[in-house]
Amino acid sequence: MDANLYKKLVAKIPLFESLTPEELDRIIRISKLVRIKPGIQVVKEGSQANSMYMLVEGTVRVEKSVPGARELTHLADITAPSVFGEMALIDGSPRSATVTSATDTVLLIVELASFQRLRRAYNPAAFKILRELAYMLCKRLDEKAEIINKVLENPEGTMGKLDEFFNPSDMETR
Amino acid sequence: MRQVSVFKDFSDEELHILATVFRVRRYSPGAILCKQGDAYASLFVLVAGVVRAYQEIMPGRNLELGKSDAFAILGQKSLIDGARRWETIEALSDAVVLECLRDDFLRLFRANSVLAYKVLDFVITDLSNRLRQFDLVIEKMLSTPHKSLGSVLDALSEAGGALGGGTRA
Repeated sequence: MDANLYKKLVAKIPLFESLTPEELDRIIRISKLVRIKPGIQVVKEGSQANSMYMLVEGTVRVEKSVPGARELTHLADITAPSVFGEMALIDGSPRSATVTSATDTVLLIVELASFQRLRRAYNPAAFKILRELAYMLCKRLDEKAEIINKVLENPEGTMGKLDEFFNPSDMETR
Repeated sequence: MRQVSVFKDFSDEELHILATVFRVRRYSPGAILCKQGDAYASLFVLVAGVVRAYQEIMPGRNLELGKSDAFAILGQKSLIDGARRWETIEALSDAVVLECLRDDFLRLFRANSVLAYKVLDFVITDLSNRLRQFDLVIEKMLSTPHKSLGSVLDALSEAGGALGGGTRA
């Protein structure tokens, strides 16, 4: 696959939909193309988040540790074209899940430091992405507020089931 | 406006534009800046006075989200998603507030205004911090041994302004 095809794939990812072709070019230019075989750990739960990953070929597996369980719990599979780890662009907080390639995979990796340079220069591409991330944060806040409200409505009946309310998609992006 | 830390590095020209986007509102004690459920979306910068934010969690029962004084910023989520307010904000004293309507913010953003980017830069960091506070609240709820409404409310109170209180600008 060539760079133009990757660009077309990235353009389909909702996070980048508002970018002009030139702005998308800017983001792709600061990314690094990486090809990996199946079974390679891309993101480790708990590690410092310093990159966003644009998945342009293949499928990755998202897993999370659960207290008391010896093996990681499978949360979701992500198939190209998609993005994961994008919240790293905001605050670099620890990763909330482990991501491993399930097939031959091609990634465009945007490092936080590169993105921060665009952000500090008030580049429109960076801020269009940040605005989308801000929407996502608002959506997550609503979801979490709903969990809290459910507990407030019925504290004893809900408490033991709180983990059922967590949305697996919440784990994919930080 | 330069006293508000989020605006302190703005150029004179940016402050001039800002002054056209933010409108000055004055409130008396007891006046409501915004009401829970309102579809009216805006960002508030409190420049004088004290306000309280609260949420009605069930009929007749309010959850206090905290008090804010000068240079606090409130309504960040409303600015981004335009969703209904999830808190009521009430003036506790004479208060002066700068208000930026969401539509005005979006117009600036669409024009690729650095000013809008600077506001977004602050707001997104704040939203991210709030999300982390929410996670802590939920984690605390999960680990609370006695699952009563009182313990849940305690967990929420400890989270301070996570649900909608002001953030020091």
